[in-house]
Amino acid sequence: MSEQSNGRLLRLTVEEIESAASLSSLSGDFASAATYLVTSRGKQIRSSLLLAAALAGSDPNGQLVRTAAVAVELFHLATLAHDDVVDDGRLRRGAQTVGAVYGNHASGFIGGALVARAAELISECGARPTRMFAQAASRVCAGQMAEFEDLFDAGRSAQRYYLAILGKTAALFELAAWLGAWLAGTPSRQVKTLASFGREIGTAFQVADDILDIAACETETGKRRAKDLEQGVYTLPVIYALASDEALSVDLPQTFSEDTRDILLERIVRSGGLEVAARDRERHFENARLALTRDRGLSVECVDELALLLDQVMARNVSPATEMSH
Amino acid sequence: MTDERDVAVVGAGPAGSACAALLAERRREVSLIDQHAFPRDKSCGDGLTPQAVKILNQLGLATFLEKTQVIEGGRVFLDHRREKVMRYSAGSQGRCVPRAFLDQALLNAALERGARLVQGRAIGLGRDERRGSSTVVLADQGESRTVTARTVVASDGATSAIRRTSGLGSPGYQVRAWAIRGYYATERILEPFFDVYLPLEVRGSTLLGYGWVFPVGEYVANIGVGFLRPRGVRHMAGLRAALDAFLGELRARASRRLGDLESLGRATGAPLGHNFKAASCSRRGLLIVGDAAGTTDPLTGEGIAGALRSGVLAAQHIQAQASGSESLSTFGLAVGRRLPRIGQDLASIARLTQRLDSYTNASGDWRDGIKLLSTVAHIAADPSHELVFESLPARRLIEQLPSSPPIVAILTDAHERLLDTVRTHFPFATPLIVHEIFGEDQLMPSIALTLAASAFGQELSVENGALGALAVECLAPFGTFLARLSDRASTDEERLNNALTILTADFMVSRAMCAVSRVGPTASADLARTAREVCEGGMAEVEARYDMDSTAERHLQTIEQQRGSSIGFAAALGAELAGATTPAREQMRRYGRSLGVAQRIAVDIAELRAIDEHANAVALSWSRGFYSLPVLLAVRRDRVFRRALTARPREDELPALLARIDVQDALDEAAAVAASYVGNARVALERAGPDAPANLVTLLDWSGAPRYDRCARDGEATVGGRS
Repeated sequence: MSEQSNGRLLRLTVEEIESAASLSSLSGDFASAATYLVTSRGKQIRSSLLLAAALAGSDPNGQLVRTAAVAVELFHLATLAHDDVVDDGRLRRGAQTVGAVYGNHASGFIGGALVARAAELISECGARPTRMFAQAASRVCAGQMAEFEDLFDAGRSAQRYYLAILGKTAALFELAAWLGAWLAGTPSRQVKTLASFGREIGTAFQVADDILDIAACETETGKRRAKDLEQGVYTLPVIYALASDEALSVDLPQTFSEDTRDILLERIVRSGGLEVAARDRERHFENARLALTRDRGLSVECVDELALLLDQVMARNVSPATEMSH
Repeated sequence: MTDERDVAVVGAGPAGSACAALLAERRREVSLIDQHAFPRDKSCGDGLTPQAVKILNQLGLATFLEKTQVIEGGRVFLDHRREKVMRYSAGSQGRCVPRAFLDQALLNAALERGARLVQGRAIGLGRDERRGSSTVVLADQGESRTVTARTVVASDGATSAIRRTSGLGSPGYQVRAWAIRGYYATERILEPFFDVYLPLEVRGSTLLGYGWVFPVGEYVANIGVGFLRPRGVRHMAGLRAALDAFLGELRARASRRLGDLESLGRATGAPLGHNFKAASCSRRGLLIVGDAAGTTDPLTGEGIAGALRSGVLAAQHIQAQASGSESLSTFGLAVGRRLPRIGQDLASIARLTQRLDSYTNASGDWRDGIKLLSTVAHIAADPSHELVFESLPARRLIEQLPSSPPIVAILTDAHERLLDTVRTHFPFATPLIVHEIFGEDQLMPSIALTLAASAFGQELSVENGALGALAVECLAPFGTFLARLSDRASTDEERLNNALTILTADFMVSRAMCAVSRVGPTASADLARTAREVCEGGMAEVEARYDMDSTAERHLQTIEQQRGSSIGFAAALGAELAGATTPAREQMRRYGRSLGVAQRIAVDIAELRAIDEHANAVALSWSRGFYSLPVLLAVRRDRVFRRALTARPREDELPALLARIDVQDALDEAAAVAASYVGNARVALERAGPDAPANLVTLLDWSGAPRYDRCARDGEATVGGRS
């Protein structure tokens, strides 16, 4: 995805994140690798979501809200560093990864240190947020593992796919929305609404990302096309393609290579898997929107801010290239 | 129509009927609910292992079983050529009984004891907390009825509706193993063995599973196949194809034993409930048993013994709960303790191996990945993989303690919980984690925690102790896992290893965070700071790689961060759980940190002392540029050693190298350093001033200085020895 600012959205400053990460105690190469990771200006969707959800409460600008936003962002950065090791990815956000530049030890230890720092920050927010944070972290890991378990499984079901992404992606979005709402003193009914908003937008976000991986060309996403497919991760469009093209379930795991990639991608596109997946994506975006409009107890400010966030996520993740003409 | 009973058991399979029979015998009012009219057929291998037979005898089915087919053991046929026979030990027998008859006999046993049969299909469960009762909703020919009971037992199979509607998740969600079977008449008399045929092949590809021929009578066999769902197989059509392929094989190659096979009816298949998770076996007023709880072994497919056992345990738990001696929440752990879980651990490894194996066309390197997985599988198959507390070296320490807190109960409970979580979410990693926790670390963090708590006069409850032990054990290997990454992975094996390693490290630390968050935010912050220190220590260690001139001070600081910090955290958390003051807690942290460093040095000394045994590990760490304290001290004294180390000696060269140079002085100096840390720990302990420090002194003596005297292994386990 290209680097864009979040426009008018509430967001943390890079300095805020960097100083909270307290990287100064790290030495040498590790310090520069960590600084590189932290300042590489991510989209900060998760912390923006947290800050926006806080608008539903009576104290949206409290220090704890801010602290939790930083914690969520640091945790996300940590997962990026560790994902690099898992994916052995060489391209992220159009730039070199920490792993590619500094090695896997740097990714591992910096990611570990950032997780630890995030956990320390969240413990300042009280017992309940600490518990929720720990559980979300655990769900992220379990989701990752579920995906790992399904590698190269042409029989992977949509249900298994959702099990994995609910953990690895949606859990953190849900946590962010919950933390923002809860720490700002939002009534419990609205906290629940916002958490489910977070889960839905997170799910839609991941489905959209997976559609882009298959549909978009490299310059658009900054990642090599079909990188997931190459590594044996069969995402939603592929799962739907497999359902309509039985022969693909044999061909895909057995014949995927540099040479056959474009032919297989063409088959996936032709099978209509992308369109079915796009319908799923729209449904989750719609669910998120409905959650906002149905709960009359949310403040106008909060609804507006989250609707803006939703629009920006949709605009960014639904590239025109994926909206194919039939 | 409503009906109120003590217990409603949903599903009259082996688990449900066994449970209902035992409860009815104790004069409980039991409704046994099933949608079918009995007798009914059920797809199954029909095999009863000696364990299953034993339980059935206890349920009073001995007379019934006498008339059924005896089984003397199992035979494995490899490729129709080689044959391996395993006979049951003298005095024990298996049986093979069609489920239509077995389930009827078990149902009769329940009804004779006073259980009441209710026919209907259970579609949901409600709970009335105020009245303390649960309601099973039945759909029956258009009308809906309910059965209300204080406790509900769900034994409604691998697709359990009760489990799904009770919020414990659908068991079928994760079902990966399937089986299909039919009954066949043979021309020859069948021998009394469970015959298993390997490998199982369909259209040229090998499935993870086996074909079986189980005699249910002289001339009638239950023939079927069971396998972990492979790539591409999604429907019953795939199952039938696999069975047909197997029957074709039998007709072509086993006709001498079987003669012609005549089908006695249509073959039927079913998913196996094999994803057992202790934490998902109970809710208030609800127990889940049998296939609904996933008690079937995913590799062997054996399910009746596990189902019966869980049914019996459910009855016992309900009885114990009524007398107030046990809560239902411990039910899952009790079942888990009695199930062989190795099949669960191996199944996912086997599945990934299979898929990577089929992927070789695109990337030949994936074969290397299989090596890693087979190593994991190898560790998993090691008998020491299952936690047998009695065999752990730490047991000897516990026997030496002057006073004995409930340490064994706490450790056992903590590790059962940990393993249950790991097996559910992280099956691949189970062997690695078990290896890590029970291999090198010797449970030192949780022992330090438990002893610290009891020193302050507080007997930890098993619940609290287990939470703390879980937290410290999950945290302790964090740094080790991260340090084990290959920095620049060049092969797929390394990449796969890295991915698995980092996923495992993160999962472990997240479980540590979950456990400690139930203690409180202070403890959570403490854990977070410790995890960060561990990472900083790891970075420092990586930076000092290949640096032979690194100072002892720097090295000691690094191991204090890496190793001392987590033992220090454990001791401090133990003190906190026991309600010690803040200054006392901080002194306990110092005690633990020094203990951790002393222990590390003792291990490093032991490695060089018994180099024959540790050459592999030592050569590996030298080649990666990691030097221990005695090595750094020896390099300073001996130029020959320095040169040799620069040349990165191979494993087989190490014993000769260490014989040639004199490392004795270096070892003595390292021992003196370790002794000084033991001294520091002693001072901190005195300052902390617990009521009963004796155990902590013993722990210090045990894991610190004297260990290197014991390093030469006499065939016995060596404490602290890294193997």
